[in-house]
Amino acid sequence: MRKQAKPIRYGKPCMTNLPPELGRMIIDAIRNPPPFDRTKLERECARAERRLNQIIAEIDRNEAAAK
Amino acid sequence: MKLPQNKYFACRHLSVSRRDLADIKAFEIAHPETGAGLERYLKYQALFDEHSGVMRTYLVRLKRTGECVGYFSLKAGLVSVNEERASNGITFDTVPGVELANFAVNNAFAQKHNAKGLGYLLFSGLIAPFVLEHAKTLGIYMIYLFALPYERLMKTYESYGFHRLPRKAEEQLHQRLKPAYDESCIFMYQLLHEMRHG
Repeated sequence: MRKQAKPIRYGKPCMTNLPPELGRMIIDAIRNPPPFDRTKLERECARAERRLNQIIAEIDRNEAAAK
Repeated sequence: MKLPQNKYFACRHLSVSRRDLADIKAFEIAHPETGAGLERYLKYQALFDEHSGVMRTYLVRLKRTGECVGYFSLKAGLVSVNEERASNGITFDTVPGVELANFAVNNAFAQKHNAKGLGYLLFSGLIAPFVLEHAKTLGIYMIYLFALPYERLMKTYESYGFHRLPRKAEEQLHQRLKPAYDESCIFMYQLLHEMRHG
């Protein structure tokens, strides 16, 4: 007689066995992030841009001197 | 779709050109103790993934000289949430996103030119606009990543605008979403409307 396949049991929480309030907690957290202060990002970008401009100017000078 | 570029940098898909292979070989990470995986990925796995289509990796070059400044990898993804039991089974919502799977500045370039802060410029000047451009044609709600669990690194991502979830939500999301190769990593995300209003 053919044996019946055993049902698969999931030991870890997965999509099918977590209570709905946890899913809602995650979506609420994702949709309501804390405010982000862009000051540091803009300051670091400006600094990197200044340095890149210096690098490019130096390359241009070296190439002009080599000619 | 135009490849990302700006005043300083241009990107192209990773390829097996002699130049790309030479740049991959010479690529260096600034902090091998935390970023060795990023260097290994670029050198030993990125071309395979590019060929199979599971990842898109871009080399970033300085327009003026063609030097390799960094690389990043993007892939499509989603977060499933709000699982509820309904009469016909389990229902759930999905939040679509783009995963910034890899991102590294070439330390060989940074050291040679004594250039700092390139990561900020690459993210806000190239990666963010590129993802926003893609959002015009398909639903993308957020950009997310799995950050290595190092304080300095996570602070850097926070200064790019990425957030962590509250602790309990983070634990639950990690249990269902994190791939095996990101086992110890922390989910961080940034909503596209935050990037637009920046």
